[in-house]
Formats: sequence, C-alpha cells, structure tokens
Amino acid sequence: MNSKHTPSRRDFLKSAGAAAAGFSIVPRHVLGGAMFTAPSDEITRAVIGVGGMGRGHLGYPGARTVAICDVDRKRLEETLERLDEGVDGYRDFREVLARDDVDVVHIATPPHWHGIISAEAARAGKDIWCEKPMTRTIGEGRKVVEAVQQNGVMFRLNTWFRFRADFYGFGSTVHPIKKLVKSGMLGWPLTVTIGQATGFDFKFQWSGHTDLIPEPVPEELDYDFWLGPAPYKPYHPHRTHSTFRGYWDYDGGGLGDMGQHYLDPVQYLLEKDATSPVTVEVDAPQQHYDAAGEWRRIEMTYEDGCKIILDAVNTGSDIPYIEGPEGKLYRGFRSDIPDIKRKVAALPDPEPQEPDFYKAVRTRRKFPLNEANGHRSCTIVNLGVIALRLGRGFSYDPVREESPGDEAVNRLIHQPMRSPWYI
Amino acid sequence: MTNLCGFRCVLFIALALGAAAQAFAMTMEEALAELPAKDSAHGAELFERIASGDEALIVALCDSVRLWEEGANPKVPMALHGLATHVTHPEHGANRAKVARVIEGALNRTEGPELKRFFMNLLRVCGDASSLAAVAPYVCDTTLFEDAVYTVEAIGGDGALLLLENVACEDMPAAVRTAVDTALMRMRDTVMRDTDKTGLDAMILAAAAAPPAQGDSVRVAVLCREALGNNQLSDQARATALRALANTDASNILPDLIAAAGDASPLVWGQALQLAGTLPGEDASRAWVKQLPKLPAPVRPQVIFMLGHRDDNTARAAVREALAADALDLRLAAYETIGRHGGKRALTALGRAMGKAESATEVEAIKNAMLQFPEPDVSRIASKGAGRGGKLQRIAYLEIISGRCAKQQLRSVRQCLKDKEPQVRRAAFAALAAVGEQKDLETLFEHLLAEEDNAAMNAARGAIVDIADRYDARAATLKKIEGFFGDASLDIRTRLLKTLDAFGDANALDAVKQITEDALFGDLTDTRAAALETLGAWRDARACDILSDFFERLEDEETRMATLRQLLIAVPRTISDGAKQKARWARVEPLCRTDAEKQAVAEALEKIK
Repeated sequence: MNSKHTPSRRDFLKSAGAAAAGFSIVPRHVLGGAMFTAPSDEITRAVIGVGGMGRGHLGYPGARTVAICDVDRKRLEETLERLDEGVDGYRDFREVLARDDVDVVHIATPPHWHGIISAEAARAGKDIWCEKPMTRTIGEGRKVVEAVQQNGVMFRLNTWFRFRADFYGFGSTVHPIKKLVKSGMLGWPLTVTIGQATGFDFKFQWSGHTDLIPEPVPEELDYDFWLGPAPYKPYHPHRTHSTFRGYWDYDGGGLGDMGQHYLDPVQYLLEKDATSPVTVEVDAPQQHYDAAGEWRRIEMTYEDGCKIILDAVNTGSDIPYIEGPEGKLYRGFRSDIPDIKRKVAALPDPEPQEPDFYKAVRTRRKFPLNEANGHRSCTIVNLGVIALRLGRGFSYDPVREESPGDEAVNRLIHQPMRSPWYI
Repeated sequence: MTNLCGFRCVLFIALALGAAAQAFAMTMEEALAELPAKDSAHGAELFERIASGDEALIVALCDSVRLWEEGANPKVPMALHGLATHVTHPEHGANRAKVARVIEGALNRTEGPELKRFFMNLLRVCGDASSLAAVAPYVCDTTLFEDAVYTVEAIGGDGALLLLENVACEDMPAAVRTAVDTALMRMRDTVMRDTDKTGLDAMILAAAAAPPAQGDSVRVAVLCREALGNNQLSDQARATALRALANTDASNILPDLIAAAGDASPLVWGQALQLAGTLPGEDASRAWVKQLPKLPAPVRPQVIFMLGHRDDNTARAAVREALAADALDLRLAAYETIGRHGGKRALTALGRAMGKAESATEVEAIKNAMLQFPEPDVSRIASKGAGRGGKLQRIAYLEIISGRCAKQQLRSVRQCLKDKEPQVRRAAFAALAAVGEQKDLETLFEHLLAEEDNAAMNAARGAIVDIADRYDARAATLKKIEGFFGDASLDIRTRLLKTLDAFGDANALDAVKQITEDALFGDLTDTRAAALETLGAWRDARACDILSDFFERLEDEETRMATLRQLLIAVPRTISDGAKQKARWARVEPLCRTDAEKQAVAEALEKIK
C-alpha cells in the first residue's frame, strides 16, 4: 500500500516544543499563509471496519481520514472509491497501527475484535474511538482499560446518550433526569426499567439462526481474518457483516449490540461509573449455544439496592422508567411528583461533559465516556449475556471482576482466543 | 438367620433402586421434546434428570449430533450444551465428572473436525483437569490444534500450564508453536510484558500493572526515571514508565510529574496530568500553581482543569484567579470546573467574568458554569444582568431565567421585551414562555403583531401557546385571534394564521377552516394564499378533508389549482400509509375538471410506493 508520510501532529509538537519554550503552536502565518492548516491543528484518523457503522465514522467532522481497513476487499474498494484522494486501504489493521501519521483509530469492526484492536492501538500510542459494545467479554474489557491507562492514550466509546441527544423513545434527554436523580426527589435506592414501555427496543430481529448450512466463502472476504479470535465455524453469510450480531461468538444479539446505548446512561444516572451489579437474575428460555435468541427479563442489583431491569415483555405505559421510594418518573418525563418539570428546571446542572472527542485528544482530558466507565457499562451488558448463555443467575464481585466460586461464569468472563490472537 | 435377612434386604434394596431408576429414566425423544427449556427452573430439573440418569442417554445424544447439514436437529447439540452448562453450576456439580467423561469419549469416538470441535466446545464449558488428557492429542493435530489449545486454556489450572509447557509435536509446525506460546502468554498474564516491543525493562512493565514488591521499589523507581529521560523510547513507553513510577514511588513523584508536564509529547504530559489529579495534599497543588507560568501554553489550561478537580484552598484559589486570566483558554478551563467548588464567591466572580466576556464562546461557557449553581442566587444575578451589558450577556441571562423557570425574575424579563436588539427580544419572549403569567398574553399579542424580526416573532408566538396552555386559556386565546381578523391587514392575518398553526389542535383547525372559507368564498380574498398554505402545512389528516371539500366546491380554475397544490403537500405529510394515500386520491380524482388537475393527481399517485 502506498503510504506517504506527512509530518504528524506529534512530530510537529515534539520539534516545536524543543525549539520554543513559550509556545507549542506556531501561528499559521509563520508557516505558510492564511489557508495553511498547521499540522498541530489537524487530527488524522484511520477507520478499521468500513461496514455500516464504519462508514458513519468516515463522516464525523474534525479529523482527516488517511487510512481505512477491512477484511472484505469489495467493501474496502467501494469505500475507497467514495473517498477523497490520499486515503490508503488495508486488509490488516496492524499495518494501520504501524503508521506514524495516524493519530486516532476508529474501531468499527464486529465486537469480537474490539478488545484486541483497542489494546493494540493503545500499545501503538494511538487514541481510540471504539464502537459499542466496548468488548465482547469482561476479561477483554479489563485488558483494554489496562492498555489504555498504561500507555497514556485517550479512549472514547461510541455511544452518547449520557451527554447529548434525545434518549430514544423516552421523550427527553438524559440531562433533566440526571438532575432529578441527583436531587434525591425520588429517594434511594432506585429501580430503572428498560424496555418497550420506556421507549427501548431489544431488537430480537437480530437473533441468530440455528439451522445454518455452510456456504462457500466469497472470494472477496478473508474469512479467517474476519473470524480472528473467534472459534472456527464454517462460513455462512448470516455469520458476517450486519447479521453477526445474532451469534455469541461475535456479539450478544440485540442486548449485546444495543445494550450499552441503553445502559450507559443508566449507569451515569445512578452514579455507578466505578462499580458493577452484584447479582444477576434472568427469566428466559434456554438459549442456543451458537445463536443468540429472545428472552423475557434480566434483573441486576447493585450493592446499595439500586436495580436495573431489562424488560423485553411488558409494553404498558404504567411502568415507570425510574422508581424510588419517594416518587416515579415515566416516559415523556411524567411523574407522580406534582409540577416535576418546573422543580427540575430550578435545580443546578450536573458537572458538564465535553462531547467533542477530538477536543479530548488535543487537551488530553479524559473523555466523559472513556475506557474505565465504558468498561463498567459494557460489563452490565456482558453480565446479562452471561446469564442468558448459562440460563441462570449468579453473583458478581465488582472489585475482583469475577463471580466468587462460580467457574462457569468465570470461564465466560475470561475466554481464550483462537491463535495467533491475544489481548 | 441374620445372613438370610441381610441378603434379602440387599436384594430388596437393589430391586427397589432398579425400579426407581427405570421410572426416572428418560428417552432421547422425551428429552428433546422438552427443549428449549422454558426457564431456569425447568432447565435445572430437566438437565438434572439427564445428568443423574443413565449414561446411555448422554452417549446417545452425543452420537446423534449432526452439525451444519440439512435436516440436522438443533435440539441435540442444545441438549448437550444445556447439560454441560448445568453440571458446572456450583450446586449441581455432582455429575460433572460423569458428563465430562462421556463427552471425552464422544470426542475420541467421533469422526470429522466439526464434531470434534463441538465436543471440545462442550469441554470448554464443563471440562475438568482430567479432560486435559482427552484433549492433549489434538494439540499436535494440524486441523484441530487451535481448538485444542484454547480448550486446554479454558480448562486452565496447573495441569493445563504443564501440558502446554511440555508440548512436543513431531516437526513442530510453526502455527502450533504460535498457538501454544500465545496461550501460555495469556495464562501467565505476560501479554503486556513485551520488553522487545516496548523497549522497557520487564520490571517497569510489571510495575505499570501493579506496585512492585517493597524490596524492588528503589530499583524500579530508578529504571522508570531513566526511561522517562530516554528519548529513544516511544511516547507511549515513556507514558507507561510514568505510570509505573506512580505505582512505585507515589510519595516522591511530584517533581517527575511536573517535569513530564513540560514534555513535548501529549501522551506524556497528558499522563502526567492524569496522575497529578490523584496526588493528595495541598502541597501538590501549590507546586503546580508555582510551575504553571513556566509550562507550555497548551498545557496550562489543562493544569487549571486538573486543579479544578482538586479540593484544597490553593487549587480553588488558582481556578478563581484563572477566571480573570488574560489568556482565553485559561479562563475557559476555569469556567469548566468552577461549578464543582460552588459558593457565592465563585458565582460573583463568574458574574464579573460575564461582564467582561467578548465572544459568544466565552459567554456560553460562563452561562453553563453559572447553571451549576443553585437557586435563587443564579437567577438573581441573571435578573440584574438581563437589562445591562452587551447583547450576548443579556441573551445569556435571559436564557438562564428561562432555563431555571425563575418566575421571581418575571419583571426583568418584561423589561427586555422592548430591547433594541431582535435576538434579545427573542430570548425575552422565550423566557416569558417559561415564566410569564396569563396577563402577559395581551403584551405578547401586541408584540406579535408589531415585531419586525421573524425569529423574535416566532418566539413571541411560542410564548403565547405556552402561556395559554399553562393557564388553560387556549379557548379564550383562540377567540382573541379570531377577533383580530376582521379589520387586520394581510400581514397581520398571516401572523395570526401562523399562530393558529402553532396551536395546532382541533379548535385551531376549525378557526383556520372558517378563515379559509371566508378567504375563498367571502371577503378575505387577499388571505387566500396564506390560509391555504396553513391548511397544507397542518399536521392532521383532517386538513386534507377540508382542502378536498374546498376543491370540490370551487369554480375558479386558478383557485382550484392553488387548493390542489396544498392538498398535494398535505396528503403525504399527514398520511404515511401508501394504501390510505391512494384511497384519498381515489376520492379526489373524480373532482378534477381540467387536464392539469388530472395530471397533478396522476403524478401524486405515481409517487406512492
């Protein structure tokens, strides 16, 4: 692949820092006139995985794409054709990480790759913008946290409801809900119910198929690389591209794929960014060992009694989104507390959250949804996935990040990888 | 006599147990008919029956597995997987060894890699130390080595480590070697300890993960400091060394962090500031404050931000001082964290800063900082400021009053309604929407009808709707609008029609219908276009009924076409279902008189998917 070297932001900052004690940023006019974009101003990125989600990343403003990567040659070529000159295409993400001129790596592969690529990107000194779920297993998540923090890189998870945008079908942003919870008006502990009644969909249409008959691997797809760390299973198109979501080896059905969108704001609301539930209960039919299926209810409880209920059955509007001993909040910000909207409006705002990741890259401040709290909200998702796969509940130690004395759970927390992959 | 009794007793017990076992035994068909288990309790009961029953059933299930082929019964592998999962439950482990042995037997008995993979998958669930012997032969199998190695890894324990450490395949294939080595790396937790890749000493890498043993601390600290000063190392390696130093020598690390904050690499200075936040004590804050002017410009605001997250007086004072700094980025960093400290002093300082702010960015940042402070202090300051200062400041203060629904500041809001700046008036109308009283409706109508700026006019309109709703005064307000119509100019009527549109309910639609009737068939002919457009933009399908009715009754070709054009807009806007859209046009089609009308309807039908 042709990779031209443009001086990176980091190269520039190093030399400028040595030369001028008072500045690290040389004014544009010194370098080359009004239209010149100084290297120190521009962030470069590579996008790994250019399927549905990856193509979205290519459009995020604020950085220049210099490389893309995909194990499907057809996708890679089609995407390159749509991009400007100067973007290189790769099959192997390791070649992307070896480039000095890439500042940020966007990871939009299926989830079974998220952990490995994130950890390797951190070790290569790259800042990381990773799709959700952060990792396919809790064990991988811990490794990513370790790699990111040790290497001093920035990490952001690609969900955003804790700091902006309308909150699915709920009918409000998370912001006033946060104010309400923080005020104590609802009391404590709180129970949060996530389901259709409160505007969320667990997307059972993404369930896997149990009757796959192998097909020939398409010529353009490097299936072995696509599988990566996942156990070998013969190729079927439903295992790949957007339908991989239905298989435990790559994702966790609708819960695995969407769960972090729904659950991360809850973790933020309940101020549980540094901990995890201590018990998990499940009500579901037995799951297939390969294909993720439908379920009815998952309930997780924290040490202080706060609960998260994932309800895939009830649709009635009388189910509160948040319920506490002193009050309830329903979809559309309705409540049994009179004049709730005015009362909440009068409350102080919570600490602001900077939603611009490229600003975090420049300032080196932890992004509001980073590797540490992202790992925790992904853990909630993965605890639910483990309960489904085992067909039962269990207890969990949020400090050791294991289930005390429950080998079956721990084997799903720490899963081995197909050679030569490791994290 | 005793011996005879003893023999009979034993015989009796054996017969009884045999009968019980037969009564308990399940056939494979019965087992599969129960799948998938309905829930945890059903699954536990079913799989306990299978696990504690005749081994022959489990063997039969193993021998019946078919994968990835036409007609394969997915329940068979599901049964085995459910069984394997069940016997690893801490309370149901009595039959785990039995199930594992049967699966191992099946692994060895079965032909074909896919089935062997499946049985190894089951051993990853329920295999124990004894299962290693069954899996071991496959470690050197060039087709199955991957599955074998990570099955060994999944089973884990000392036996697994020993097995992998002693793997000796004939002409050891490179791929097998790699698989074994990476599994060992994971099992020994040495993935992060690659000294070749990082250039860092193994002790530094270990310390980056966890504090070293006390006896090693001094040596590790020396190694870390050497690495920090070694520019041959990558930035991330030096950042790792800094973290390792924090784990090793936290009480003496402050000078190192301050020095690292001056590093050219963002990974290094960023790591330094992350770690700085965790160092306790006011002395640490004092050291940072002293160093601040000497640090590179991009780093200084990040130091302020870091100090803003510390809870001592020195840190708080530094942040307050930064509110008045010459450099904008220092002030912005201070605004972002001042809210954590709270207190009237900080709020007063923010008020002063707001007075001096020159850019929209800075005003917005100060406003957001102020909104972190409690009532009534914030809206009191906002009330004082709403009538003074620059345009940006007046708008920000009105937004604070609006955001806080601060009714007690209503007077200040009213005073801004006549501000010379349209953006300020717009903000004042929006604030009045939040805090206004019913008597403000009168004033709002005056402004609505006289306002020259579109955005301000829309805000006044919105305020009318919000206040009417809050005081349950919709009906009265609609009547007022209708009352204005008679003598009004075209401009006024257009504004009033838009206000009816803002109300958007059935009563408002009735009012629009009447106005349109008057426009099409009565005296308000100059209002035709505006009235028809209002119906075209309505968000209820009833507007389509009204337009159709007018279309049917109208004679003038030009007016008919104008009405039809609005119907062409309204139908797809209010009726999402394609079949219902077609039904609607089927009623309109016979009303068409000219070729142009028929053509327009035909094109509309063609567009429906």
